[in-house]
Amino acid sequence: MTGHAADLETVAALLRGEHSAFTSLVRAHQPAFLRLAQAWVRDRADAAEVVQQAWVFALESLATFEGRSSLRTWLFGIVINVARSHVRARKRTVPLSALVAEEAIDGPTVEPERFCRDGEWVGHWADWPTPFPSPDSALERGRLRALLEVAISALPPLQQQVMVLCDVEGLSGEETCNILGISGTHQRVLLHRARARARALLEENLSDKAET
Amino acid sequence: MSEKSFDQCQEVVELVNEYLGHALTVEDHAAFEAHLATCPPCTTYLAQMKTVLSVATSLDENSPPADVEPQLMALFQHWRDKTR
Repeated sequence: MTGHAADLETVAALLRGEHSAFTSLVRAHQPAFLRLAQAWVRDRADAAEVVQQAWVFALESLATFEGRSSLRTWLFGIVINVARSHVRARKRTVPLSALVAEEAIDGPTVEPERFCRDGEWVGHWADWPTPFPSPDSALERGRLRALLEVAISALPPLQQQVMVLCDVEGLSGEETCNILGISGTHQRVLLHRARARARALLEENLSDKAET
Repeated sequence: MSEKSFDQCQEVVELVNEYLGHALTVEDHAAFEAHLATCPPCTTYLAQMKTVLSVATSLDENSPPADVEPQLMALFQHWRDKTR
């Protein structure tokens, strides 16, 4: 069955009231939903509440799903809209645009002080990056995964959502733009900055661990 | 005709994502790789970024299946009863 046909079958099963269809859907998507909700709603309990509201909204709107996007993309869009509404309701005095403005999109992604400022080697690394441990061993992979979860959750909301959608969930740039309502150029800039920031946070954490 | 070159690491690190996404022009791609061939710290930076991407992908693959919390099932049951 193609993804499209499978999505329509899942929707039909849900509309028939089949518990197993809902259980499968929750199992497949709940971790990603929580990750996306936490980009806007940092508190885990509040994020869980947002996700629950998103499920209610998704079920109520199920009959309107036409399969123009994948079911997953459609659901991600709902989670993000519910999370944003939640933030708007809680922070009436802080417009969403102000939160987004936190994500300044100018300037270099690696601290300028890491490079030589003058002389023959201007623009070359002064403070070299330290190699990360290889993720090939299960132990290191587990450690890197835990550190990256923390690093991603520390990113500004839009950068975090772009990185979760593109790099964790494997969505295309186009799907990500559609869900977040941003342009391709903005998506590429946000992803570039998110990855660079996540790398820097990982490097910082790994060197802290090495020093202790 | 002189070939394009990236002389500064500071410039190269800003191109890493485009390089990984195969979005550089042929000329920039060649200049990027020529820089890497002689620059250990930029090679390390690129390897770090590849690690970030590989671990990011595994965050989802390795998420344990979520527990289907009783309140979610109750919510589904409620919706189901309402729409019958």
